[in-house]
Amino acid sequence: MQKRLISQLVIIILALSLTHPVRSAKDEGYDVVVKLVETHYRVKRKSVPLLARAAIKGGRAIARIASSSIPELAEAGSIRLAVFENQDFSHPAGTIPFMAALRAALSPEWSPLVEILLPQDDEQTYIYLREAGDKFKLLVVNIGRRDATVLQVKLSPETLIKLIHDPEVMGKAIADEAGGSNSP
Amino acid sequence: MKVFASSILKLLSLLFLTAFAVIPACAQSNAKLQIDSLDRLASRASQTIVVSIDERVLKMGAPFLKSTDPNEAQIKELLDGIKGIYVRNFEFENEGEFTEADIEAIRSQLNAPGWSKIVEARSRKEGENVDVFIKTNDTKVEGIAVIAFNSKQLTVVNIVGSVDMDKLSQLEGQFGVPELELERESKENRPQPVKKN
Repeated sequence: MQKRLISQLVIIILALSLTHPVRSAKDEGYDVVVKLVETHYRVKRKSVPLLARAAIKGGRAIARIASSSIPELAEAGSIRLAVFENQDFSHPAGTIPFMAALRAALSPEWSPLVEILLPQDDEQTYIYLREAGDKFKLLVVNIGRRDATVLQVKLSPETLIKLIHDPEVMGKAIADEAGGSNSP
Repeated sequence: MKVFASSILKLLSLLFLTAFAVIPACAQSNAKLQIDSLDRLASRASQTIVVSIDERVLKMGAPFLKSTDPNEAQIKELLDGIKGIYVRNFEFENEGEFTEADIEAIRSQLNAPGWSKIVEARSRKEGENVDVFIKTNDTKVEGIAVIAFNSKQLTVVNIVGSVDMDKLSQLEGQFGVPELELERESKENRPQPVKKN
């Protein structure tokens, strides 16, 4: 009887554990999204020397949302940036499959804040947020016709407030700054 | 031992049953609409804007709003009681890219108990249609929904939490809520965007 009870309990515990999928501790939004962009569009990000220019772009984007200078931001936390330049980001099924794949790929800790799709310009911008101790992680994905940027940065609570106060305008501003050659 | 084993199994069964019974009850009391179904319109839209400020994001930011700063205090007051702001805005190049069935998918949820239509505005000249719904539980407001559309644009706004028409009009143009022009005169009293010192 005891054996039967134990086996029944094991089955119940297994069933419960299967209903709550466990994600790897390495499931960082940035890594997941960079891999997703690479596989979905079959593109490769730029090599290290070219990242200098990209870092300036990323810094400008964050400076824009934080209304502060790049040195101030460097103190605020790490910036992770991947840039895909002069590659083909067209997809036969349009922008929707990537939006769906992105939503599915990110762990539930990431909250979507803004998603902007402009199919005529082949432009997509996604902004996700998650808590990171006393700060917040912001993940920005911008995909244009020939370029894409994936940017993750830690933000102060003050910047977060600014972002949620006007998410659409801020989202477009970030897309313009962090975006590729499609941006003026 | 037999009695003990039997009790544990009964208790586990009861926990399972209770868990499944509680989920629909929670869903019923929630004023959050299922608006994801509209996302398929994105493939036909010339512009799609999705804003999702959920309770978790609000909880992340709200505690850091300073009551000493008049502007931040105003935002804090505005967000007080709000558990989520969800917006879908689609703009189309041509007419007929969305149908009554797309809107009906949202309207049908607003037929549920607790929801009432409080505004129905129709402009034949400009083809504008705005419906505002409010969800109440006794006298407590639990949420608000706005469906606004014309031949080339569809906007759905769902605010979950304690919100009234006055607050809705103040939220217009901020926190992802588009300009619905529900109450023009109240706009002058809005807080300005937060500026970092």
